[in-house]
Amino acid sequence: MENRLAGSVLPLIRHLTALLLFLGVSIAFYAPPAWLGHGLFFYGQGSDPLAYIWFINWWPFALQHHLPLLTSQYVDAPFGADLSWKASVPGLGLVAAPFTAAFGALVVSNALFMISPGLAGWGAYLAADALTGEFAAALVAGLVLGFSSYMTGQMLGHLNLVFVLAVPLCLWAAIAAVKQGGGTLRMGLVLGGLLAFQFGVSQEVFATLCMFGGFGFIALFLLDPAMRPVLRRLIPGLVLGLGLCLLITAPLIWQMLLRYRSAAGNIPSAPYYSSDLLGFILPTPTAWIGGGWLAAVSNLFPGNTSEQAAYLGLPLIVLLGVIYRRHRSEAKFRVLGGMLALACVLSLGPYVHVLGREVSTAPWLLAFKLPFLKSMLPMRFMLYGWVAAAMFLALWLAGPGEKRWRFVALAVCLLFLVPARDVTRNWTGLAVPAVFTDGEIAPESRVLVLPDFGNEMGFQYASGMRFSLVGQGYLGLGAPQPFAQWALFPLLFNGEISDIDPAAFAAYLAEYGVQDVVVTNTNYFNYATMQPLDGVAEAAAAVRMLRAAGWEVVSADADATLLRPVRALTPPSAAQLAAFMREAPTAWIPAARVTKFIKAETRRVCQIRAFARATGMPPAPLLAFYVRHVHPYLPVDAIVCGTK
Amino acid sequence: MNAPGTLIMLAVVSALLVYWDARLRGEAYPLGWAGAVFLFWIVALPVYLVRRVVWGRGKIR
Repeated sequence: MENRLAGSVLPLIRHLTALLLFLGVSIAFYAPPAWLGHGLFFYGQGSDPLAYIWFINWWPFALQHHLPLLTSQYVDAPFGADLSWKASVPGLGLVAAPFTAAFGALVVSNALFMISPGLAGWGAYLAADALTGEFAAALVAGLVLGFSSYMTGQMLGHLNLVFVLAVPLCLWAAIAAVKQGGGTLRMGLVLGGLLAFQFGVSQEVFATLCMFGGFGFIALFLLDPAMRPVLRRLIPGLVLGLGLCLLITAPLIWQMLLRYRSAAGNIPSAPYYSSDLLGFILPTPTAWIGGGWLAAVSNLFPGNTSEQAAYLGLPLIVLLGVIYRRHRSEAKFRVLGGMLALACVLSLGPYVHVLGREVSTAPWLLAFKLPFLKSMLPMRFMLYGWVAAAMFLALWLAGPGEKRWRFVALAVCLLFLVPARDVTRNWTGLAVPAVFTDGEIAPESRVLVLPDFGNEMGFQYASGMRFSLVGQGYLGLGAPQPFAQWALFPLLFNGEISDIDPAAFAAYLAEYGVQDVVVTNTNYFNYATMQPLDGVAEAAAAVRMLRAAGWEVVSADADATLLRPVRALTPPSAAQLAAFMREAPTAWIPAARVTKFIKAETRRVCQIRAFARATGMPPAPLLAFYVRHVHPYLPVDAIVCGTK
Repeated sequence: MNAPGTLIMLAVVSALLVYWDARLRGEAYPLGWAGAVFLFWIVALPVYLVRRVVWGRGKIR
């Protein structure tokens, strides 16, 4: 009895100790350098972290206010934005909702960023522990994944790609099922929950996890004949897990399928986001050793620094090669080595790049145009390369023989992966102009914030979601429609506000019912020339242009100017619209779909009224309930039901 | 022609030549070699050429 208790309690204590250790290291690396004062202080750079704060806030906010979860009228108003193909992190948003309610999305988002590498490392530790049974080797495996170049790069600002705990945990579940047996139901439930959570964090990582999981299964089946009976026994559990995951995530999948065509334009180019051949040996600026010196060279690599995950470093590559050569007769090393090589090769994308130039075809050429697979960025496949490398190294460390020198050799190799201080202290402070928080903007207003692209999501979050953003709101790639059809839109987006024709801008603001324009004094950047602009001068020019467009200054301080129209806005005529738009104004939703939409809405409202008549209930509360929960686009009072 | 177009054309021509050569020399998997050269030209073509030289000396088989 005592032995059994020790057998179950001791591993638990060991795992919890490891968790605390990983979280401690992670927080020590990524914690803010000092107390940062007031304002929005967030981990990461650019607009991406603000979008994650907004998303973390969105899920509990939408639930509390009975709003549709997968579309939001708060951005790209008055039409709204679909969230299903964005990095909307519903899994994190919903799981963290109680914390968001208590501490706010800013604190939760920052905390999630800081603990992500530690949690990923802990997941890898659990998998390596299940594989090898050696505590020290498993800890090193956790460090390898938690502080890999994949994690360090994505820590620049991609919460959905850095919170990958479920990836090593799926491997742990599979290894545990192989080693300890256990029922199909248990494995199915564990895998189903993990996969569904991963789908909710990043659909892309979920898809690549399934793909590399499949590759791993096939590799093990082919390279280790002794494992085949065990693998056959695992199939029902795997199928059950996948089925359960699809069931849990069905609403999101359905919305994604409905929006697949419109989302196609928002997917970045796979050839551009491919690992450079030299990227495996040359550090990027995220590495402490050599990253800065070689920045001029690594800047030539495709993609951007946050996505460059291929850097293993020459010492580690040599070590991995030596280990493989010595142990290639063992199936486990063959499988893990094969998976690492496969991830590296596929991460090269459809073409091999050397210093950013395409020099050869590469195997992903077969897949990068296929539906769904085209949504995967090859550089990110290195996550699985790092998982395989971590397990491979843990196996080697846990093997028989003298171990001290193995740890020393590996420590030297891992030294080259230590993140640069600029990365680990990557905090940004955003001063929020008082106009967003002092109540001057009326609730539910439609607001345009200038400059158009950058901080508007942070301002909206800081205001307590007080207003909706018209034709703006950064939640990911893609030009907002139909706003992008206006001739002035490129000027507005690129920060060339003073070049906009005031008459056209007046028509733009009137067409979409903008009630307030806030001109802030910072973050002006010309995205056409990629040059920063003088904020004060640009803001003054924007205010002049708005005055010429018939708007007046309501209030102004050192940070921002609030403007409202002098008189009630008159939407432009069809002829004016045609003159101001680059293309013939097209309906956002095709006409046939609009007709179908109106018919369906009319039918639903009439059914509610018929139900009220049949039961003798008053229709008004029923319709109010319907409006509150379904948020129909048509005013239900205006719907006239036919008499039969 | 853009760079990817040139690369694909180069890979196709190399793959066809490798297929023809491998068949002529009685290689076990000429189609496999051609596919590898098409999909991973920068690695597969040098490997094939080295192997061809070694094979030509009668060191394989």
